[in-house]
Amino acid sequence: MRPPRAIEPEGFKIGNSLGHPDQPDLQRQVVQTAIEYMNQLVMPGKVTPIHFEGY
Amino acid sequence: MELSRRCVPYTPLFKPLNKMNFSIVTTAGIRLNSQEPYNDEGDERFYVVPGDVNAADLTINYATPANYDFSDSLKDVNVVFPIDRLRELAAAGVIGGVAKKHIGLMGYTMRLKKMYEETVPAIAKEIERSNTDGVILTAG
Repeated sequence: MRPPRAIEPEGFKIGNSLGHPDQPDLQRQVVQTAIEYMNQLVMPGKVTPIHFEGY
Repeated sequence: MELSRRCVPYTPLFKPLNKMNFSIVTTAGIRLNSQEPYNDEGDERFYVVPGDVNAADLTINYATPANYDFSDSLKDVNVVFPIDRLRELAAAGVIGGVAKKHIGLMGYTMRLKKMYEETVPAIAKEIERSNTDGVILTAG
């Protein structure tokens, strides 16, 4: 899988792409970060690890 | 839509984020409760999920639960399908809005040729014909 732009929340397990259930603030932070990175991720296929507090 | 086998597709942004509508395309096995379950032995079908969907009307089934624990998604679908979070970002003015269509599929199949040549182009066509400017991809 080689998506055009990708972030990888560090340490999130499979099935928790955006965080744990009922962690709306963290989920929103992950989605917003992914969206805001759209202008910064300019190497297609490269996955950028990002650490999020609170997972 | 012609998909390249060699290059990773990349489309520069031409709009500010707060003018863009976003849709979600997920291989997490999301579907409406009313839609037929995915085939446990593999399934290359996809479902269109309406933009105004209530998260409570969504469910998941997947072929290989041993490889993908979706129990958290059944408690809160936003962990793989962040529809409520997109709505909040739209309300806050971070993005322009939530698109009218989202796509759910299981993505697990041995029929890779069909997935590549039929399913994925059909998904791209659905997205192209909607009011989508950007797509959030989640793998489950």
